[in-house]
Amino acid sequence: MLEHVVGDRNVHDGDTWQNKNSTTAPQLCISSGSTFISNTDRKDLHLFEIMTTALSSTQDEIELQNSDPVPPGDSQCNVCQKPAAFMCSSCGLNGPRYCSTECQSQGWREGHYRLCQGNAQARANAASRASNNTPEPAAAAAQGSIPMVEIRNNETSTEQDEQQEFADELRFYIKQIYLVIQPVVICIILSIFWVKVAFSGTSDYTPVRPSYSIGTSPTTTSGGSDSSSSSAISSLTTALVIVGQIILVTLVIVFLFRRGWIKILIGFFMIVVVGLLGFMSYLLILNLIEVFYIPLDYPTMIFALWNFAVVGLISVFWKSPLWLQQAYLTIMSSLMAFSLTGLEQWTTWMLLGLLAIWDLIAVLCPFGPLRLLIESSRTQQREVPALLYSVNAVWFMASMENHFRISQSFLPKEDHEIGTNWIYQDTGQPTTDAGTSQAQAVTTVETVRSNSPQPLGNNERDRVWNDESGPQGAVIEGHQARDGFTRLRGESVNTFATGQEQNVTTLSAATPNPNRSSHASASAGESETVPADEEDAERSGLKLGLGDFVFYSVLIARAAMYDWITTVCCTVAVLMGLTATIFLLVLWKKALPALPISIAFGIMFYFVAKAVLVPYVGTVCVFGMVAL
Amino acid sequence: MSLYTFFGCLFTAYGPLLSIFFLYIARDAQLVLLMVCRYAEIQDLLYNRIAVFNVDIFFLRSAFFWLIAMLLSSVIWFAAKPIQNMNTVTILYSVIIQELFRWGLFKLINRAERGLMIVSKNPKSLFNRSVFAFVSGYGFGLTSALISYISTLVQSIGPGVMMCPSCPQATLFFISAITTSLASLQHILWMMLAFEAYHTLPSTIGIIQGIWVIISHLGVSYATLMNSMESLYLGCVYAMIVQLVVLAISTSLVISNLKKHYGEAMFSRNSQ
Repeated sequence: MLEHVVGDRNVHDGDTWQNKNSTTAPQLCISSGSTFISNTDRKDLHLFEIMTTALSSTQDEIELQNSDPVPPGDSQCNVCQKPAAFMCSSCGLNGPRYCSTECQSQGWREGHYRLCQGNAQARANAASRASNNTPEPAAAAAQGSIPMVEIRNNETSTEQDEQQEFADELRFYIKQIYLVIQPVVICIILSIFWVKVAFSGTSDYTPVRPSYSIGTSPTTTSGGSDSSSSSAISSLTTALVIVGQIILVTLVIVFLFRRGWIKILIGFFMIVVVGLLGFMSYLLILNLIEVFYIPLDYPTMIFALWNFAVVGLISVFWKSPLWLQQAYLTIMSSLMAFSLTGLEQWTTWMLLGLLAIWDLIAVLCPFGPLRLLIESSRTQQREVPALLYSVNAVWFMASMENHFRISQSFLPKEDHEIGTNWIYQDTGQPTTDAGTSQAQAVTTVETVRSNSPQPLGNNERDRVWNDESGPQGAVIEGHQARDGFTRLRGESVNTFATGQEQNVTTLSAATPNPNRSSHASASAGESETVPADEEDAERSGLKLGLGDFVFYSVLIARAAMYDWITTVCCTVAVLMGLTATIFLLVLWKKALPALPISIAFGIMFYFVAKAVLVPYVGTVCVFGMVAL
Repeated sequence: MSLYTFFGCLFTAYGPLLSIFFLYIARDAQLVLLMVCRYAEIQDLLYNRIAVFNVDIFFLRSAFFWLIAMLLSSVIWFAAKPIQNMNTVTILYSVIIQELFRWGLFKLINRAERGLMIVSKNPKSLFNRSVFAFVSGYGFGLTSALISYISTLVQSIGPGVMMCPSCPQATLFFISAITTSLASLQHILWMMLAFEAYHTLPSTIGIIQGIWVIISHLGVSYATLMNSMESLYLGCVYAMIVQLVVLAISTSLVISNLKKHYGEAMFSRNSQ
């Protein structure tokens, strides 16, 4: 009945249907030029035939713009004359028919790219665009990459709907970013407050670190001209020692994780969290008590501290309301930053610089430990339980995931499918696969990169196999980018959904021939697949590590120890660096270290502000009383 | 007494900005977090599905711009030793650099406008541009208020008191607070005027408004020189009067612009 109604409508205005059909495809058409309609579903085919007959009955009313040799309605392949099952989705029923993707790509090269309506539309769009920054990939697409998309018969989205949908997704995205920025700002403000309290001069409990200096005395705080070089060396050694510790602990964690000794890791993290929550907050409370003259006896304080630490432990490692977890994580980061303010000035700056470099190495190098950690967490389908190495601390991302992720669901979203799991990940933040946090009933999502001919073949095989398996949920897994992350580079990227519960496809970043890992999904219907995928997409996205929280806060706390102007400058600079990093993440689609850009901005702004801006403001704005 | 001074100055200087933030901006997270889609047009996103954007906090970006402008002029100030104490010259190049960065900010936002429109609550609204300008101006104003006044504010807590040179009855802290709050409001208006002007640039109205922004910016800054003139009795009052007059003129210009947009909106609705 439904089919009949649809067919009837098409008899009345075939043009509408044709337009609709061509508007469903354009997201492909710029990059690919043409797409296929496949009949994975027998119902599809049936409906397809009805539509075909309906349209061919009103053939005269439809203006034919296509001069491909094979007339519409014919079901022979345009290239090899076999019975055809596909057609160009951009041209719709007026377009050519194909029996396979090979034939389509051949036909594309042989001249359909000149005639394809999707391409024409893409050209029109490109011409109408006012400023065109990105090179148009249509030309490149004509060379070989032809992503395929199955068009479902219930596809009703018009351009308006898509725009609306896109705007909604964008708003969601903005909201998520807001949720990421917010705790960073809170953490920064908290650590500024701690610093201002502890270093106000009335406290005896300011944090002081033993210095690891070799030879010279570490207590040269004020810059005597003779001792400046030696103090520079000593602070460099101190910074190096601290960074060395961080590297060491990182390596140990990666080793433990790869061996699967998770319980040792968890125990280690618990000790550190308890120590931090207990001892550092004790130190902080002593500061607060002394500065604000709070009358408090030891039993009360110890009782409160004990409860504070234990509740923190439970909420971080077990469960608690989300806001409590977030509060604890933010407070812990600011405490950690506070504990690091005891370092000497130059030690802090060198430490930050070295850490930024280390961050680059650890995340971006092929054998960087953090990268290895991410990859093994993907291969082992296991979350990194918690990551904390002595300073570049990362606590339980498991509990943060819902909060610090940004859905990328509006990224490459094809008709049929799916979510993507871009893992955004930063410094100390080895993150987990979007799917693995529900490792029991995972619907893993794999990203297929199809901008070369070979994956096209893979897709084709999958598709054929898919047709055999009947109308159930499609499972297509292609090869993934070698680094485990998907990059979008000008070319089209199709995303396909993968396994169901019975056949969780292993997502091995190291698997060289991923085509083998495709499995049949015979049980679950499509209606189940789609929500699961959407959920995955929701949970995937941006994560910001607590390590970044800590070091952003360290930088700003250090700036706050000089002047308020440098504090404001560094805050703006660090947040700006953070947004720049997020931009690069969206651009490059791979794990990025979050520290380098922010730290570079922060250090630069600190020194410029300290050298010139503070005296300038002092002269012009404070004593000159000039409003600029 | 010092704590009273501190809070009084705090709310005098930052009260308008804070109330704008909490009453208007913070309610609409979108304004706080407007996106700048810089590198890709929305069309690319829709058709290409290659999502490449730049995600920025809007007023963070304008704050960043203002800060860079300030750093630049402070570097010039630092390098030009002989004219370090001539505030007139300093004001001249500082204001010019600020205006240049305002222009750059406008170019940036203009490029991303289509993306911003889609994200905003009412994508078709003609007032969107004014809203973007308002938030950017808020960023400028907030940063300038913070940078130029925060160290003075912190000093007001201390035991000592500095008196205003031109008005010996009032403290420097309080006069500076008033100057700062007026200047921050002016930054918002200037930004709205400048965006409007740059958008309609070839026309006469655009040129007049653009010139008005630059001239009034310079004028206000020069007027505040009277604050620190010992020879001029009640100089700070004159400075404030000048600021208020400029503020009033700018406000009326902004209101007339908004009215024009409203008229256009009504017209287009009627014609449909």
